Amino acid sequence: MDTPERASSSLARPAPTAEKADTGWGGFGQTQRFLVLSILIGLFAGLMVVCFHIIIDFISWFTLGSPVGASWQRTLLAPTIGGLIAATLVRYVFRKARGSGVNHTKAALYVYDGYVPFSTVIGKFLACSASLGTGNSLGPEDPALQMGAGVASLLGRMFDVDKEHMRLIAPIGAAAGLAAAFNTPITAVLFVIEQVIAAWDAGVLGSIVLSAVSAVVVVRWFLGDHPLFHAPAFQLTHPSELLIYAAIGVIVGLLGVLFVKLIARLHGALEKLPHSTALLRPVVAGFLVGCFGLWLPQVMGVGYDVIDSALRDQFVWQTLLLLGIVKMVATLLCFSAETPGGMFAPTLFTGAMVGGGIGALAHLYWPFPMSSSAAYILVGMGTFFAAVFRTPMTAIFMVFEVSASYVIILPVMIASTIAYLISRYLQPIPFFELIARQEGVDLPSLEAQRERQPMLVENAMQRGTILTLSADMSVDAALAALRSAGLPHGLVAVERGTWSWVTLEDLEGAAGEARGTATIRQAFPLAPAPRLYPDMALDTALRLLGPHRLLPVLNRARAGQVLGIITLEDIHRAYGIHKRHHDEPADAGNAAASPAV
Amino acid sequence: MTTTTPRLYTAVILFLVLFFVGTTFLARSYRSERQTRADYHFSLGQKLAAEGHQAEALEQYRTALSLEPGTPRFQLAIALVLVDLGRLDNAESHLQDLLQADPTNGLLNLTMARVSAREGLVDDAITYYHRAIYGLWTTRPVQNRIDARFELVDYIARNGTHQQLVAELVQLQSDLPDEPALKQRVAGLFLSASSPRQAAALYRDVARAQPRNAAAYAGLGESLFALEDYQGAQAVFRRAILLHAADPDLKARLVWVNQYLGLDPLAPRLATAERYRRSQRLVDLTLASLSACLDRTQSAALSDPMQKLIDAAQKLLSSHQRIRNYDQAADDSLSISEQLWRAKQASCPEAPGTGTPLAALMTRLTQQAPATSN
Repeated sequence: MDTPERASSSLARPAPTAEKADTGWGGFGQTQRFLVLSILIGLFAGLMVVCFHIIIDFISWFTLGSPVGASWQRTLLAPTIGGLIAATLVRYVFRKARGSGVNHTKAALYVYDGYVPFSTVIGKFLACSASLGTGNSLGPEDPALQMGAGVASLLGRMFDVDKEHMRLIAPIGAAAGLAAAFNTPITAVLFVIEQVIAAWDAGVLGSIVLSAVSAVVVVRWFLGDHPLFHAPAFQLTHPSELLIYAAIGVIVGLLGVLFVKLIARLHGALEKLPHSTALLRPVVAGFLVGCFGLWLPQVMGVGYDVIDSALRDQFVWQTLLLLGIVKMVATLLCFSAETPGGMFAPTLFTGAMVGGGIGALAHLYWPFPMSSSAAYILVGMGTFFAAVFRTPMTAIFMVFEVSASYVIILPVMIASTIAYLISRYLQPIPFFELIARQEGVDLPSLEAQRERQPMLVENAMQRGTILTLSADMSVDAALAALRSAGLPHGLVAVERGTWSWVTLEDLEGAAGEARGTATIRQAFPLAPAPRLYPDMALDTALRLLGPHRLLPVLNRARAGQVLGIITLEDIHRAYGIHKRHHDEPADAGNAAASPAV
Repeated sequence: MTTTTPRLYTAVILFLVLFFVGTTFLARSYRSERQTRADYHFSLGQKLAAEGHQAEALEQYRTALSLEPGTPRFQLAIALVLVDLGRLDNAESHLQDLLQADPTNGLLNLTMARVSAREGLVDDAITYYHRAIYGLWTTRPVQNRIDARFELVDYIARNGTHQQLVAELVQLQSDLPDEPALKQRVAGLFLSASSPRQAAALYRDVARAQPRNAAAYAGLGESLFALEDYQGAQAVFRRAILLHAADPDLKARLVWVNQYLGLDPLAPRLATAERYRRSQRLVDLTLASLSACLDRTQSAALSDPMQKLIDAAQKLLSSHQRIRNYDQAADDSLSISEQLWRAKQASCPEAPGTGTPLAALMTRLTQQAPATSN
């Protein structure tokens, strides 16, 4: 599939030429207008998520009623009927609203040139309101992310955004949606970069940040400036605690792997069931969640208030672990049954409870002083997130952002890194990639890109003694030097730090025209050659090589020291093109396409 | 992005404004519904807490807080219920949060002081009590501060040092309004903190303001008694008995004081004959006390000096010679009674200040007079 590669290579430089062409709208350039559009996207996405949040709560109040002492009939029926309504909506009315919001947004970026049908926004809004409001064990962040992408895509189409910018507009909206749902702008930006765009050098970072911040401002305007969790103050009391955090990393990492594997198995198995069961699956999942809810009402719905209670030491370690495991099972059922909703909130819930449970258990037996359980809850939350979604940076910053505690950074880094490594080792395919494959789409991931080692200039350059000619040398002398060295071209030092090149043929031509006594500078117009360094990507070298026959490779530490040269042949050789060309001499087409000079 | 018509921009901005207005209405009704639900759960919690169902009340408060996160009154209610349930760690976490937002709140600091006190963190508790005393109170600030100070004094009396207690009482005394009841209470605390001088001053103020306050006179009498001003105590006890004749403790105290004053040979403005008579009485009483002590200890053989002392005392008591110089005779008798008392104390020691009027008097006399050997 070559489309993603095409898109990926263009992420760093959106539409460099369009800016000059269009300077309408009060003299604003293309980039400035795109930034303003990003703010608009953030505002719209923020408003959308505020409404989404409110509707979910209204539905929850009117279906489940009070969390304290809800009747068993409501507890059983609400998620069952909610599942049925949500499934009906996405199966028969808004078909494109099915599946993972992250993958839809990624597909918009890499496959559909930024197109996200607005019907998915409406579909996600209605279906997820129905499922989440009635207590199904899923979260609102993934739908919010997709709604943001959909809003952005609609605005992009309305404003007739050019193709290059249009492709990038979905992640901008996604960041706004996620930031609004989480009330955490940094986390949203990082997640979109790590998971949706899958490239750290994205040129749209400014737009993503603007949209995320705008969305969060809107949410705080309407819903108040409350953090997602009210974590009490704590501090690391003894260095030995880091061992417990490491243990949380191992246990939660293994649990994350188990969770993803179980989802893959169950989701795959349910997909194979007859189509006629499609509506039945969310109904059964909802009913089972209701059954869990009779026993442990905390596992129903999004569950952020339960995490908040856990942060206040409301639960003993047995309850914490039980809640974590039951929530995991409930989420597994809902997600595999394709009940509309996201995985972020349940992942945070499970991680928080398991981390908190381990911390509370350690409190009983650990011989040294320990921090409060809140620290373990936060670390568990980030660790499970890192293990399941393979986004360690997002996990670390998310915990930092929701806790507003700098102290938590070190423990969460240790635990998340361990969990991430375990997850990578035991579960080769990341969660979203796995789900995308099950949905029949192949989307790139940052991990896959990281594993693909880029070719560098140092892999292709010619090293050793390089013949350098002075620009003030006569043509005859230069010709003699090249002939004696048996080289077809030479590097010319024009001035200090400026290099050019000359070929044997050029020198022979000049000598034949009786210009042998002239200096190279007089005989030829010496265009300065771009400088390369060994650590530069070979792709860059290829682009810079352009009209030049060779380029100097210089030492970054000692300006002016030539380490080697690189030619088009060297690059071909490094990529293996030269070899294949010679191996297949009979292929006239290949020969014609060969760039060899 | 190609050039877009201004009409489109206008339409989008207009739609944004409409969306904003619509969301505002939705959010307003949402907040109102949240508030209503939160208030409902909060009042239900208050009702349950008043009925003694603390655990159920806690659930209701928590629901209220989840609906309106960060509401101080919900958090405070949760903290108070948690304190009642003995879940001090949890209560502390809520209180710390509240204190972070409102560090000078008197009620929060007072509750935190109680939590720390129950956790046995004496220094923390005292610090929080002080913050409560000097903190801000929305209602009845003066009364709340005084109550907090009283609570602190009670706490220090049980857990702190005497020095801390007196320091707090002095501070309390200086902050007191001119209310006899409060002064009387503080005076009682001073008395129990072994600071009778301050107690007497306060009781005097109260007695002056309320001349028919028997308790104030009784307290003043006790203060003067502790200061060994038995003459003053006698007058005050008499007044107290006049006001509250049925109090047997007061009567017993007065009898004691009367006995003491009736024995004291060094009382001012005493006739020499009476002084002599009292000295003789002291010899009699101290000799009896020593004899009783020797009987109790069953000492088989008395030492020679002891025997001589007893003989001298008996001789003095049985002498019927006419006294020419009462002063000299009284001094001699007093000297013998002091020696007898010292001998008795050596064999049967008696804690000072806790015994009979004789013991109190002899302790005072022996402390005043230099020891003499016979």
